[in-house]
Amino acid sequence: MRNAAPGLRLAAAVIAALSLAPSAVRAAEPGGTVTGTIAVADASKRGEPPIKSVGFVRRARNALKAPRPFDPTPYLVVVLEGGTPAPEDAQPPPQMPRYTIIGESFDVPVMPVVAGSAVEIKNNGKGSPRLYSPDMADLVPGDPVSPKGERKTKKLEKAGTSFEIRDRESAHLTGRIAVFPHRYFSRVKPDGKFEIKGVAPGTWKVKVWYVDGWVEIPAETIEVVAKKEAKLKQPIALPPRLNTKSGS
Amino acid sequence: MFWSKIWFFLVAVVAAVSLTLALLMPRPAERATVSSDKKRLARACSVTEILLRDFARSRIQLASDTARSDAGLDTVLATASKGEIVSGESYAAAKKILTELDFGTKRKGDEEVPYRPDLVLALDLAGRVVARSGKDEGTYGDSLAGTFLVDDALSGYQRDDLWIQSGQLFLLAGAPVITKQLDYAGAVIIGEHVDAEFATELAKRLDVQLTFYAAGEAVATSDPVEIHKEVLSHVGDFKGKQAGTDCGAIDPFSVSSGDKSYWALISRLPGEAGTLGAFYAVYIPQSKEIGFSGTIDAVKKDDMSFSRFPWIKVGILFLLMIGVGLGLLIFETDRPLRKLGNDAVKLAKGEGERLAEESHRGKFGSIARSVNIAIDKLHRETRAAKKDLDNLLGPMPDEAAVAAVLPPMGPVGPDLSSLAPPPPSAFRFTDSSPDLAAPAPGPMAPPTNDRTPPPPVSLPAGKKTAAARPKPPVPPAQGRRATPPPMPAQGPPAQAAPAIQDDILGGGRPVPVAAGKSQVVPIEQDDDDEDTRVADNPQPRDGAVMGSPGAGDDAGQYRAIYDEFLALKVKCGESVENLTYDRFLTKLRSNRDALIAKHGCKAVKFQVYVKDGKAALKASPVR
Repeated sequence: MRNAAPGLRLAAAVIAALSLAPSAVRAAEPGGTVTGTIAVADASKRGEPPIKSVGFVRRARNALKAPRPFDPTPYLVVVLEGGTPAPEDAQPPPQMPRYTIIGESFDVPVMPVVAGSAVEIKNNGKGSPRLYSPDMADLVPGDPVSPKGERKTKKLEKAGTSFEIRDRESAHLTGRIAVFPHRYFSRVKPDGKFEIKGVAPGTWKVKVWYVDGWVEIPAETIEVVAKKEAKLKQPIALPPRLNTKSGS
Repeated sequence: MFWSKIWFFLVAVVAAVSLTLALLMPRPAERATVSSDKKRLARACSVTEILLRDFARSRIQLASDTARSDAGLDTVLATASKGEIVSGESYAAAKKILTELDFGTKRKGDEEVPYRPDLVLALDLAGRVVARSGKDEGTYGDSLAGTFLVDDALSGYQRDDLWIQSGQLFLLAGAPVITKQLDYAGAVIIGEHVDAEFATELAKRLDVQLTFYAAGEAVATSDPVEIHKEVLSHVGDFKGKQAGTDCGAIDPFSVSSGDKSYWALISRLPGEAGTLGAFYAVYIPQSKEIGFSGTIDAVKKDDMSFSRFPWIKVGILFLLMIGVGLGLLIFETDRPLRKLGNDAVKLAKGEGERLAEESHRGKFGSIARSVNIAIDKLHRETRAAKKDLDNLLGPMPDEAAVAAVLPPMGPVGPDLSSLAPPPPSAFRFTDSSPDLAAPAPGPMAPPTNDRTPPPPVSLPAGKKTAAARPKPPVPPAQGRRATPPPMPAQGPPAQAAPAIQDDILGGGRPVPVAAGKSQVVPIEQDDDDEDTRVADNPQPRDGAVMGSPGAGDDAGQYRAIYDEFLALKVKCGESVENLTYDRFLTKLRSNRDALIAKHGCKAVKFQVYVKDGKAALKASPVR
């Protein structure tokens, strides 16, 4: 067993490396890359962050400096639609997507996944949340997730839907899993830039998902060529108030 | 009696009303107490919320002051925000600042003592804990980003919130830390643990008991009374109520622990903890339902003093009620009764013939009238008897003679001998008598009692006076003397005396009379009456003595009397057509038997005489 161990370890490492490699990387070779920028509205027009809870006294601005405006960027997902994805790009990735609890929040407020995927929720916080989804009763086991523990959700089959994940032990711990038909999506970086690699060649519409629905803006069309970067000519301007409609 | 009854009714009404009031009075007081308790509870609930809001404002101010302090916290946090992780240097520097910060004083009892929050957090821009003071002081680097309070504080707001951590409730406030260059560097969070001390301090101000509930259990209470299960069962009361209005919108409810009951009122807490169902309950002991007996027991000695209670008025009222009642009793009952009694005594003594019914009122007048009616009836019956006797035997010398002729007719009739000892019986035959017109029974027909005897006859006292009654006529002397038949040792038991009113020769009821006496007495014997005549050797001058039935030797005497009577009637010019010896004999024997049975005499003496120009026959018992 000792002689065989190094060989087994190597094989396992190769298999693991292949399985853990991002699907986008695997499909990047034949496909193109879509890049662009999301331009949120001016800070003065975005308004204040939403009030999520009130104590005995309503919150008040500090006297020294104006509050920071609401930033919707963490809640945005850019998604390509209208083209024909590669068959493998419409399949769930071999590695189960992981949604991580860090401290008192999820690592991202909105996590996009491919339809048919199950999500692993990892608790890296100190508490033991009892997770549940108000959108699907048995989406996630409701027993407490101890620190370093993890729970797997059911497979999320229907594209264009989202499922909120909440904690019965705290009001603020909340996240959302958004389901899309393929892997041609990308979260938006704090500077507003996004990048989608391995997109199948063809004509695609660039749509923006915000929290639980599509942002009601005209979709940008972009032509994707294999092994080339297709960059949006101008940033996608978001309105100050992001009205959404449910996905389809 | 009318006013006495009215008075009794009034007294009963007053007593019933008083009792009703006494039983009812505690109820409104209890309701008022309950209502007062509930209002007090609602007020305490609202004041609790006001105090907690004031505490929140103070805490926010304290967080803001801490964030703006010149201790250099802004620099430390700005530096920490730039690192991938929170460095030990940043932690140490921030920890030192937090420890040395002066948070002012607080009032504890009567003195001001240094105040130190239970929790102070210094956060960098990412929401990571750079340093803690108080709870978990040695821990740092963990992220609190995502909590509403921290996110708002990092965004530049100052606010308060309530957290539930590890089953404990915390009141928190946060404020942003801004550098001197007016850049956001982080935030400061100040928290206070809601524990028993906090709840007790707060409850003491409100004079109620206070318990905080979070995560489905009591987390802090001012009173270790076990009412939490019942209180938690009322969480459903929040449903449909707008947050922040619970103290006014929810009704207080009753809970109990052991033998004690409490009024409790619940109100939701705001913030994150409120979202998770945290609330507080204020409660006060219920006043016992004391009721009537409890009210009596609760009366103090001072309540009974003359200065507090109108004893004099009550006493006067009591005496007035007693006096009026007694007065009415004397006026309406005692005096009239005494008066009626006196009249009755006078009537009994013969000092009056009737009761003075006009002088008696109400029921007593009715009694007097009834008695007078009875007396009048007796009078009428007496006169009717006399009339019948007169019709049969001729008129009596006077009314007093009736008593001598008429024996008591009923078996239980009163003994009239004490009232009027009668003279010897006098009777006569008349042609107009309907009895004489009827077919005569056979000779010596035995007495029958097939007819209902008339009621006993009594005479008024005045009728028996000697002055009102003449002496019986003295029978004329005769040459022969009748020998009375031997009497039985004792008179026959009660038999029907002859009803003279109906038929002098009919059946009658004999009255037992003691045997052994051989003397002539009036029909009605009364030893006290001066009219009683006693003759040891009766020798009627003009009459015949008839012995008891069966003697067999009276036929001649009867015949003689008949002849004498017939002759006298002829002499007086009376008709003798219907007068036959057989009928005369029958009636005479019947009358004799009746008198013998009544008086227990040995014989009856018959005398013929003239009265008012008509022939009459008189019968006298001979003993």
